[in-house]
Amino acid sequence: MSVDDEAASRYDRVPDVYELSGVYSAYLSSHRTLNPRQEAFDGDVLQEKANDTSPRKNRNFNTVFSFSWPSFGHGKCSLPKRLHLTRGITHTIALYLAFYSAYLAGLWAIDGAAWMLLTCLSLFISSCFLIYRLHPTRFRRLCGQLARPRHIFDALDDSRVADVLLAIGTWISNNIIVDMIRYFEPKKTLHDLAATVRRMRLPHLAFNMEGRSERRSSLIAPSAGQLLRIAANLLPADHRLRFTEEFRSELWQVAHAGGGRLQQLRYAFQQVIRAPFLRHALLAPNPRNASP
Amino acid sequence: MTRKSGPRMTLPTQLVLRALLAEPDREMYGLQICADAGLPSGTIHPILARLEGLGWLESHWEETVTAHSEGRPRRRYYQLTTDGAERARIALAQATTPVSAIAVLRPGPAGGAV
Repeated sequence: MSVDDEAASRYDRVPDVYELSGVYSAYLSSHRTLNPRQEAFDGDVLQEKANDTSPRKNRNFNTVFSFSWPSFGHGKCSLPKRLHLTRGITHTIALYLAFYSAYLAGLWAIDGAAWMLLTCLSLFISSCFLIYRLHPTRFRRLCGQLARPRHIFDALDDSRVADVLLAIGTWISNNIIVDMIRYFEPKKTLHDLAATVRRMRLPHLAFNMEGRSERRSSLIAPSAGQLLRIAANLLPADHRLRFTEEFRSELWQVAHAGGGRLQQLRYAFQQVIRAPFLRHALLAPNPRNASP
Repeated sequence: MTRKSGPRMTLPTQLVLRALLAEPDREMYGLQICADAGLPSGTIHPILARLEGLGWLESHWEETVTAHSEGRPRRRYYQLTTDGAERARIALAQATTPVSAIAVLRPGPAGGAV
């Protein structure tokens, strides 16, 4: 078998996302009694009927779906339970992204960067198109649903390849969604997301998001603060406290004068670069040294 | 060659002195001096420390109450002493590189100042 033939056969073994979706559709069809919300998954459009089952009833239901992935054998994946609390198109998008990301991970494992980049571009375009159609509330809900659910780690513990792929896919999806939220809705802060997540009883996520939100609202880049600490540590001990406070004060002013992270880093970097000169000036045998 | 009692009159030093001498009675904080002198923020602190060590400058912290009422950290203010202002004028007049030439070299703020 030539190299080209071998490569071609490897590509043939990579299932398309829609193929995976089809398997999932078949699985859901056969388990309709357990989860009656999903009616059919036809191609890339999930048709759902009105939800006549209470969320409580579905909460303990963990979707297990199997698919055939020739490169890794037959797999059985469990989706995060929380996904079942989403409804309608939100659920569709979540599954779509999870599947597509698993597909990406498979491509990466099989063929490497070139296909991965092409498919990432495709994923980005598809996701933009889908998210464009999403209602913002559902969009935020989706983000909350996919934000590192515990089940990802459960899946990782199982050490099953398919689960790991799905976990990675879901994680990538989460990052993509968060980035897109930032891009499309810059005024919707992480506080909104935190509130959404809290409503969904995921307090650890809400805590993380609030922390990030507070750090953002303070406007000061933590990395710039770290650099200033380094600059202050380069100074003589007697003057360290004074200049630490002075640098911080100036960084605050830079930040609140509209200086972004780059400007803050630039300010902090300049202080680090000039710290040896400042040290020399402070240690110089002057008639009256600068008082701390 | 004997060392003079004043600082070495480098271009940045002249720019800082010039900014401070523009309004000798006015207290200025670091970034303000940066903006007026047109120097990057890291450059002025060594100069200010040297001038302060020579007694040309004095500095003090802003009142905490004032800073807190404005919801910001307190600033360190710098001001030329009377003696320092006089010496600074003489030093600038004797500087080998006149400040007017610096303006040609640096037509605008050099960045870093806000």
